[in-house]
Amino acid sequence: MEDAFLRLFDENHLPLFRFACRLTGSAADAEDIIQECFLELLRPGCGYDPARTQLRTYLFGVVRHQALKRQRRGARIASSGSEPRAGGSPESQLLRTELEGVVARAVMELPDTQREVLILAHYEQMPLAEIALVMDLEVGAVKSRLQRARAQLKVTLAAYATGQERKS
Amino acid sequence: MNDTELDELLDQWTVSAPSPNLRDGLRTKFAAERASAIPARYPGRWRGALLTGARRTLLAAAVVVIGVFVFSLAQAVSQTPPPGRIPYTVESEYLLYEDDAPPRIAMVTTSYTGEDGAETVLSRSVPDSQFSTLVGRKLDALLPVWQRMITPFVVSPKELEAYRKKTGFQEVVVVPGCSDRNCLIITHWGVPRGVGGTGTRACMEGKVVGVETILGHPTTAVQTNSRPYRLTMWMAPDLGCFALRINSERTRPDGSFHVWQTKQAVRVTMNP
Repeated sequence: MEDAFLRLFDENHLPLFRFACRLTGSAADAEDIIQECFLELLRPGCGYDPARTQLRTYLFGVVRHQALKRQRRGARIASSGSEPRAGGSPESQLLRTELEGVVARAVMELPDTQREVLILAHYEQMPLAEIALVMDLEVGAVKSRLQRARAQLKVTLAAYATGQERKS
Repeated sequence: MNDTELDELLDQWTVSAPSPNLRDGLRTKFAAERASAIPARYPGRWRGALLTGARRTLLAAAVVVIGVFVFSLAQAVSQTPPPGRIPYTVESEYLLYEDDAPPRIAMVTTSYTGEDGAETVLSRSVPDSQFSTLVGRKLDALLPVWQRMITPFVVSPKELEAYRKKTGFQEVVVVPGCSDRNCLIITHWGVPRGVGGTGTRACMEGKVVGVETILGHPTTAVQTNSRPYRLTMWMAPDLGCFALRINSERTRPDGSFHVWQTKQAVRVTMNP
């Protein structure tokens, strides 16, 4: 059983980790959430019903709830879960890291529901119908939240589209 | 800023990989969870002390009643199609045509047709109405159970067996739309499965009115007439006879048909 459980983890944890990381802004929090998420499957009260939901959808829903719970408990929301990457000149890497921080902050400043939809749609390439299941919304509401999030980001990040650097 | 520029900017935000210790940590917690689940819990003595006389009788009666209810429910639920592997899913939009108003999307579904030929709705929502979505989902879960619970009281076992033998796997069940304008209840429509047909003609008996490829899947449009309704269904044999498009028509007082609801598949996902 342990092997099957770990195989399940291997197959699913990366997108879930990315989602948790972008939701909380913290890699450490994201790792805690991922562990909780998979352990949830073992517990007697686990609400997963394969007849109604795909496992992936269910796990994304658990990650979302865990992240919200942490947020309500007042856990920190860091500005970015990313780390400097190797490659490129120090200058270009610095610019890239700065831009990455700006984008991360812009996404983190979105209202919760818009941020969740944007992360699932853009970064995880999840279909709108599946996002609706994860968030327990109707597809129309998901669409409108995604549109609002993108419209807001276009305003927030306008200065960076033309390559200008904005003081923040 | 256009959408492409925004996408490029968003792509700048990457996330580092999780720590390699994450898997090991989970394995340790897995072992701990399993270990804590093993010890049996011994019921406290106070429970036995409270269960005396009338209370014990009442509790026993309650257990019996709940047992009967759970048994009935289990019987009903056990007749639903087994989960199994879902070979594909289809996202569909249902348009409702109301008098003097432009058509509107009344419902969005994700569904598939199982080996038994019945379209199974995995999820559905009513755009812009959280209330209808919520109530609709509850009714989707409750109505079949209720129907199966009352069936033994309204149909004799002999009649039921005869019906099952008659229909068996010879029926294709589709979801042509909603039975009300708020889509609280969805409708199911059973049609006789085609006998002896091959390829695009294998799905159902009826008048063939066209052949079309929808979302990459060859379909045959077959019309079935059951006044006051007429349904035209574009069924895809390679998707277990799933109807990728359905036109539902109703008769007007003058006898002519007018389109009332349509179903249109917008996406097919293989091996979801």
